[in-house]
Amino acid sequence: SAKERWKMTSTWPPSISLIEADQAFVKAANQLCKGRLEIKFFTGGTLMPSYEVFDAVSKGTIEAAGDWPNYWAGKDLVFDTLGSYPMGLTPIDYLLWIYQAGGQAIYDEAYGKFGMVYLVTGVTPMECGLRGNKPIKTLNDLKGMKIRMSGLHQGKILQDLGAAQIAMAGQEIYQALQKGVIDAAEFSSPSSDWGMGFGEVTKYWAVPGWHQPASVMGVMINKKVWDKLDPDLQEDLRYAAKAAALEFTTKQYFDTVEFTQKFIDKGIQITTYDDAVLDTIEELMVKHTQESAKANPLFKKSIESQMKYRKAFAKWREMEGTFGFGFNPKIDLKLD
Amino acid sequence: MKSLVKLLDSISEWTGRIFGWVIVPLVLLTVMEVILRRFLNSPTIWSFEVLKQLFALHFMIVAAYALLYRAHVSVDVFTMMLSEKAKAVLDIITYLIFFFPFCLVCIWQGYSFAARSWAMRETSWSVFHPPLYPIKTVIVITFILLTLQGISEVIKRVYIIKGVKI
Amino acid sequence: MDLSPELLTVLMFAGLLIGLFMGHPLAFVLGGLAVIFGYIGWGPSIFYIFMNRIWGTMDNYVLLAIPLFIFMAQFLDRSGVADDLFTAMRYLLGQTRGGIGLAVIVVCTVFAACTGIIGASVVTMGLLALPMMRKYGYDEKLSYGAICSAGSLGILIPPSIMLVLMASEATISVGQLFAGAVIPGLILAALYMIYVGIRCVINPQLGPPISREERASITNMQLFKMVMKSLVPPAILILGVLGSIFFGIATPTEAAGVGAFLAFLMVIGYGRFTWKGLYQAVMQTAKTNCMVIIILCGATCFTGVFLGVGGGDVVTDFVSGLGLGKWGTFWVMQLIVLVLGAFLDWIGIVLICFPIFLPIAQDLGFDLVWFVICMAVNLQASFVTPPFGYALFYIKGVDPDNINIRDVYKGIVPFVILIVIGLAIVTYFPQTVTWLGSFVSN
Ligand code: NA
Ligand code: NA
Repeated sequence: SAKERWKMTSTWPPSISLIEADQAFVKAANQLCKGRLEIKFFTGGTLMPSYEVFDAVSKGTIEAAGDWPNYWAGKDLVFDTLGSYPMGLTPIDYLLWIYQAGGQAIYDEAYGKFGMVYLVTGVTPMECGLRGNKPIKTLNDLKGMKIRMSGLHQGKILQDLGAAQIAMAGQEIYQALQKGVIDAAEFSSPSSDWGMGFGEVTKYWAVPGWHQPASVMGVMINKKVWDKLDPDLQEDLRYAAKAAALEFTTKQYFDTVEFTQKFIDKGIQITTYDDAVLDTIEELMVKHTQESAKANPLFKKSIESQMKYRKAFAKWREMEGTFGFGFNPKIDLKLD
Repeated sequence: MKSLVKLLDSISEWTGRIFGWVIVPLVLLTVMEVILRRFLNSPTIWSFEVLKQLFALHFMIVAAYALLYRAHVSVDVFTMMLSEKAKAVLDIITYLIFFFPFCLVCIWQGYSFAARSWAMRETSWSVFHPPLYPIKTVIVITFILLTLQGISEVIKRVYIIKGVKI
Repeated sequence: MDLSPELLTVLMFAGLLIGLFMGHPLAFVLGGLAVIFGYIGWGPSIFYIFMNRIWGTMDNYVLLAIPLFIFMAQFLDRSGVADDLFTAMRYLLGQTRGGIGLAVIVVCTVFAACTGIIGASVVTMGLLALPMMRKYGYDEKLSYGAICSAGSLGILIPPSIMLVLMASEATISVGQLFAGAVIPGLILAALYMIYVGIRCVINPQLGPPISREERASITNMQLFKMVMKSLVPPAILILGVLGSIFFGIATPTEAAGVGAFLAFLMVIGYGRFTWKGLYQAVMQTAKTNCMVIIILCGATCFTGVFLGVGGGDVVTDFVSGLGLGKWGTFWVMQLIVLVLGAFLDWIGIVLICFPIFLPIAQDLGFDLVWFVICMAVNLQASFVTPPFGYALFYIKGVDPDNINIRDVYKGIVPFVILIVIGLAIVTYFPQTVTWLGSFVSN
């Protein structure tokens, strides 16, 4: 059969490292499908604005696009659970849930409603968290703060905590932090935050990033285009996505080392929330999740599936303890 | 035909006269938000998105009004040398090659763009989450208004060629 | 039809030239070409991208600064602030050769720090200064050049709608761009003044000083008061706009709203408020703002098609295929911007060039803020280079019957050279951009 030619774009411009998930997928796909399918990749913003790629793939203007699902929560609330969730799944959780515990079916249903299929191309570690010029440790510290944080559930939680969620364009955050228009802001990963120059305008960094413990990246493919493909080719694209997921996830995780060190060298103080803060936030998360689940059945189904996975995994997680994701040795092992 | 021109012109005139005023709430809301946030420490969750939608409405919907007043920039260094009638002929040609194809494509696609948004009752992704479908519909309305004003402009050129004053 | 991307690239620009010369509005020439070449090079399915891109322009908070700055300029225009300032400056500098020319540049620079659009200052200076310069026997060409080029500084010296759009397109901070553009803007103003000064010293015929009698008609004390009084309103505006940014009261976008509000209060304060005046300001703002942003909509469709049919790769391959090394590539990109500036407005250029040039600049290891400022300095030329230059349209519009456009073209040539010199200074002394930025960020 004739060679397929696809156009693919992304929500990410070249300056944001998350684009590497898409690039890894395109590279692997073109390698595996040589002679049968060729994907031409356009970086984010060249064919259409970032937030429009969903619509363009769904409509079939282009065949595929890389994304982060939460951007589409205004189209269906279920997407708010598929890219990240406050106090929700971690990177490893997402991978286990998607590949082994029924997660993929939820993605298929959500994107399927809009005529698309979805291949996950990687997850990123926890987002940095709040950066500002005051230390944030307690619930009291958060009260009255003006905080730039994106997300619907995140915003509701901030409101309940007595802080104000300030909406603002990405390009305005730097100066808003510098001049105190806002008290704190979250943006993205250490490398992205460093690239935005936040090290120059903030002194404190509050962790953990409860608002976004992980981010799932993937590629949306128009379903009509997908269905026309040979099952063989479909299988190869799934392999390409998995190869990209391994490459991207490990790279993103490892990049945190370098860029976190840059913030530390610059003299940024890292502070940790008191336990009470995270407990309160979890309670609020439960409250708002229950409300949203009432309003949207698919949202409910997704959260249920995630919770079922988390429960099933609870015993083993507890047994693993710190071995779950590794731990810092107490003794500095010297071999020379 | 003359009354058609009058009708089309007055549609554009009135959209401009009405929606031009959107600039006033734009200024007041911006200043209000600054005061509320900085001096009263109680920013709103809605002004950011209301401002965005008002901004979009303000510049789009007056496009036909701007066309009526020839406010859209063009290069006249070369057409300056032509006679009134030759200029009118050239204008009709450019309207047919550039203007109408663009407007008609935008009406066709704009309809489908808005319809998709209405179908999913699309909102933005924020605590305020206002609906997006009304403002997305403004695109198709804008290009319908532009097409109407474009028809009026072409009829005016036809009269110039015929040497009739209107 | 299956045309190569190279051929499509050439045809798209040829079509642009032809369409422009036919006198059709730029916005619709760009949109119409997007339809034609989108259909040929991709197929009708590309048309949906137009909606995505136009919506992207509508859904852009940062661009809100544009109508707000335009509204502010409208009030500034109506408050008569420029008249007073110009009269004062004329007495102050009028005795030196070329003094009125220098006054024009100084007033334009002060204005540039108040408003973000060029129309206001070119038209105002054209209305106020041009008759005066004629009366005192100033060389027409020199007058046109000075007014057009200095009047265009408003879009380089912050606040500036161009920097706002550039920040949005390059996803870099508006504040960093504002800080970076101040010194390059002042360098250009200084170059213009030095040039006008030198020309008039060498040949006093070009810009004779005002007579002793006229200067003697007011005392030094009166002059001092006049200067102080006329400086108050611009000072309030500069403080209002830049001060509210500097003291963390408002974001740059909001500062534009604060500026518009202050300018409105100023009109009231000067007793020049009328409902009719407000109505005119509102309607003029609607027209000007629509003109600027509808071009953005046409240009964004054109760019989407251009990049979609592979035009971006054609230009990138061309630029990197020249094998000119880091600085050679830099200057080729600047040359392309300079040439495009003759035919397109800054909005179109930013939309077409940024997605192609910024990745190249990043690969070459250039600092993005500095690179964008270099583009901004270069784009100053686009306002004065024929056939498509806003400053040219505006100055011609001031007095259509008595201004020979050929004289304007001749008059701006030396100023285009000065802009290129300014660009070279900013290029080889990047401190001019980074110094203020680093000062601001520490
Ligand atoms: Na300015
Ligand atoms: Na030009």
